[in-house]
Amino acid sequence: MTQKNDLASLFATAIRRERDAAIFYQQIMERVANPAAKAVFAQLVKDENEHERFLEKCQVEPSLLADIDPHWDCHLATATDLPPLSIDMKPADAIALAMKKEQEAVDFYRMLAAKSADGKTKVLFNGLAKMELSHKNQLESVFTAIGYPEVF
Amino acid sequence: MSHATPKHHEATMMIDGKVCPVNPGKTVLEVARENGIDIPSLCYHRKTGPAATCRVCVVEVEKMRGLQAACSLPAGSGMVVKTNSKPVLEARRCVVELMLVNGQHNCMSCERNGNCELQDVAYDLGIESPSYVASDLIEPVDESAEMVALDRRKCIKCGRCIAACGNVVVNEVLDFGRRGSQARIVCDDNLKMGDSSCVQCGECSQMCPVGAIIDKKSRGKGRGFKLEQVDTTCPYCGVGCQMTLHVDRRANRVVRVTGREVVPNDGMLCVKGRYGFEFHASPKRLRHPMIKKNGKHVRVSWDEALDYTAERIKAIVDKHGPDVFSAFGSGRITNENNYAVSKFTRAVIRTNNVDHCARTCHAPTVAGLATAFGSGAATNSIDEILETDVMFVIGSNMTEAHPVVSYFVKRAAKNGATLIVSDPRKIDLARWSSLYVQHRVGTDVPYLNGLIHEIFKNGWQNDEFMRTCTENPDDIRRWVQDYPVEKASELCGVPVPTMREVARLLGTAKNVSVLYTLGITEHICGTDNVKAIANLQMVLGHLGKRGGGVNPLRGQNNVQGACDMGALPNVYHNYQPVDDLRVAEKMAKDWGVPTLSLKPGYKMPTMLHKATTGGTKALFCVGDNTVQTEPHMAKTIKEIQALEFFVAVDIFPTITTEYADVILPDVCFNEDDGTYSNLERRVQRLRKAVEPPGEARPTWWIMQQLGERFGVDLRFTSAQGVWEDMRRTSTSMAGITYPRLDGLGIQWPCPTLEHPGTPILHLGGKFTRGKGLFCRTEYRPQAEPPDADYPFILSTGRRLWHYHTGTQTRNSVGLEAMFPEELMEINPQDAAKMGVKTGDMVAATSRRGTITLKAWVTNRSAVGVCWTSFHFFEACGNVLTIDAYDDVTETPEYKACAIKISKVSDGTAPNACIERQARP
Repeated sequence: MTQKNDLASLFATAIRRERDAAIFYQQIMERVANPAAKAVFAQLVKDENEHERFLEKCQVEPSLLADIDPHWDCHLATATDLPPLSIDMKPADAIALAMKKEQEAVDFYRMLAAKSADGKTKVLFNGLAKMELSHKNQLESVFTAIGYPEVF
Repeated sequence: MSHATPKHHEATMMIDGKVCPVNPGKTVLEVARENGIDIPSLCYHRKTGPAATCRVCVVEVEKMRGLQAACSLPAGSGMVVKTNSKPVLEARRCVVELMLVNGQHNCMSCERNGNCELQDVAYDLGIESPSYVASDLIEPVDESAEMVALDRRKCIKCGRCIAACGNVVVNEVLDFGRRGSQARIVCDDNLKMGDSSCVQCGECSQMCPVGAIIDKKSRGKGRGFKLEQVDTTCPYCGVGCQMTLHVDRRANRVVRVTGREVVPNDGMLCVKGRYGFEFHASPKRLRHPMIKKNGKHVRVSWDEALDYTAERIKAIVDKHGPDVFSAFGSGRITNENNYAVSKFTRAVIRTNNVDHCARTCHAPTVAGLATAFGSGAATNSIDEILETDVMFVIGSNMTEAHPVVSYFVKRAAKNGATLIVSDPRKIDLARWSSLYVQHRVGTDVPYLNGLIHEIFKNGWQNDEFMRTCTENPDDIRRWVQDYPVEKASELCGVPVPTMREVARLLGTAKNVSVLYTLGITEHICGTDNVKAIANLQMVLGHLGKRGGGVNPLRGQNNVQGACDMGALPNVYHNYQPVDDLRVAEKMAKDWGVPTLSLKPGYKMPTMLHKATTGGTKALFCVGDNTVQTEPHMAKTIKEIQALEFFVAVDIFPTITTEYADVILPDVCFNEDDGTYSNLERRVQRLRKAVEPPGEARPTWWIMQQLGERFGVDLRFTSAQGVWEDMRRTSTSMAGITYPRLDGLGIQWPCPTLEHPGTPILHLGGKFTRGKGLFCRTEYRPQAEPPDADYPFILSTGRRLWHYHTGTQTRNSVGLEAMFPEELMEINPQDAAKMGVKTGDMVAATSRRGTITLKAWVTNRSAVGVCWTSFHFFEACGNVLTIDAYDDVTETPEYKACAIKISKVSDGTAPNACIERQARP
């Protein structure tokens, strides 16, 4: 296989992951009872669809990935327990689930980058990891805003 | 100091041969200092800005005629500046020598020796003695004020104190009087400082570059360079001002307090924070454990006190079950000590009956905002006040209760922001307002609903925010239909045109910050009042952005932290619910106990009430002067007397400790390490500065010792150890550690070590609960309206000079002298009818008791309304207040009950300066 074909295959995998994630969130959205959680999952479906479109653009112009610079990682996804899937999920559970999945994606692409001997492939995987990290950061910001209710 | 490195595309200037980057809006002096080049200046200060009066900062600039004042000269690209050329040094020397001869600058006896900016400049210039002949200045030092002395002989007329007083703390007392060489600093219309409206905040003293304005308390008590400096957090109010204690270690005492120029207070303090520190060394402090024997408190050893306490509690709990035990944490004590009380109560006794004094003040805030937003804390930070367009202050006497926040508000108003003050009492802040609105006591709901109605009527609501960020936008529009301004006006007493104007100001503003305090919460409808404020801000859409928000000003220094630490009956620390099995199992596992109770505990009023019915038999009370702070004092005393066993942990003997079976001496704010959380959710450090008196011990140590006597090791070995114990099962504070707090405080949520903290909640309209929830609020009149027998409404609150039950402020020299006795504020029309004048003794009687105190006839209170505080046990407002409660939170209605007033005798007017300082 040529290097060009390799990269196309990698993009296809990445795009499929985003599509699968959108389907996953759609399925949960249809089942959860809490309207606010439903809205969050609906937004997550939209987000994943946007990510998919972004990757399609990157396929044509891979340098777009290089422009992503998530300058920090607060490791909130790692520190948060994976919420169990249930119809009683609340908005914070939805975000927690999503940021855990983004963390998985970051780890996945970083592992592939580490194992990759080819320079261009490594750069691509690192770019994808950064992209997922920036998604995770956004979700972690949301979780920080909604994940710690103060009750009396 | 940071040394900026210029990038090739930046504008630069040359100072003393060094290339320095130039940022727009900077002066030459600022650019020089940013680049490590010192230009002395006596009039300029970062907080007061350029004044260009002292001329010490003169520099030579190429292509400019004459020497230039660096503090006021805008830096420009390509400028070439010399700061130490011969002409510059000669001019600077001349200026400094003139200053030296025009004052009596005797460094040997001056309080500022070693900490004097004039002395530093003279030293740097090598001036041993001035070349000119000194003038004879015969001007007595103004010693008339309690805390600050004004020595005009040392004044260099730089004007920094005037700028600080007028533009930083915005008290507007100091100014220049007379002209030319006779110019001098004056207070008000050339009054002595002690007779003026000066509130003794001490900002002038901190900003004075020489020894002209000094703190009287520290005079002669130690040279600055011989004192150890300990950074800590102020023990008064919820602002959480950062301060430095100047400590004489050998004498084991604090000598001076200065504000730190960091968030949240930027160096500013109030009279209590700066001068109310001596209580720590008061001979009245509790020093030893005591047990009541034959009706008298007798000194015992710690072992005897702890053994006895443990035995009595164990016997009661064994016989009646754990729920007859209750504990009070406190908004005064540290986070660590509140956590220790909570953990002891839950893990050792196995009950959730723990609560604290947030119940008596801001519980409705948390209940109301948590319902509307999902989080009950202040949404924004104090410094954002300076960025807002309209400040809507309702039910907050902040110049007295939260003075440092009021400095920000007054400064913003002075800088052009609109300030609306709504308060049944014409408080001092009204002087700075664009619009003062006097609504009737307890009518906040109709007032706010009327405003919302008017906002809808004019289409000023933020439809986009309501649609995207709230759950039920159509409901609020429907609910307020019952409150057109005409009807609301009848209920709240605000004229219709005024209501329309308030609605217009709020509805057309780019950004609105709502600030409120206990005037909102201490009503039977307190939670509804808070919900009405939340409704207003969600209608306007001013949430989740800088300079907006709903900002309750928490009262006590650590009342936010006491909540955060789980000194509440329904939640563990960080608001983890006690009735959530997963949470309980997590806690039990970490604490090493088999199970924890899933049943939420009693709230404070219920705990006390149950004492008279046998439901509460043992009460462990930490840092709470319950008898003086709860409403209806006679009832509270009966309840405490009905207890089988009562333990009080405190720093001073109080009216409450009198009833204790055991008294345990606690340490105070500067005698142990720890943390407080301020009203912005900012966790900040306390640091040990002095040794505690006698055998006083921290509460966490007491809880550890008691736990061991129950066979439970709570694992408390130090304040930091307690914090780490809490942090292990923490959620929103898991990222906050002592080393991280060595810099600035951190605002929670801060869930990981890498997380920077969260200054603004609900950013972008994303609420903690998902979407914001509008809540229906309806007008409910006060529980006890005035009638023919008790024709006046009594409202209660706080004074500037005192704090809560006075245990700290009445044991600090000077504060008591400034406000030595409690007064009953009576409107002049009412006073005239009764033949009462200021200073006369009056009896104030409610259906629950009578107090006798001096009258203060003042327009601050409306006709038919009287006002007093609960600071003085000799004439405590809580003898009169009613035990009627907010039905959601059990917060008492301190702000409204019915009383009658009768004149007892003629009397003498109180300290005249009180009236001027309060400025009715």
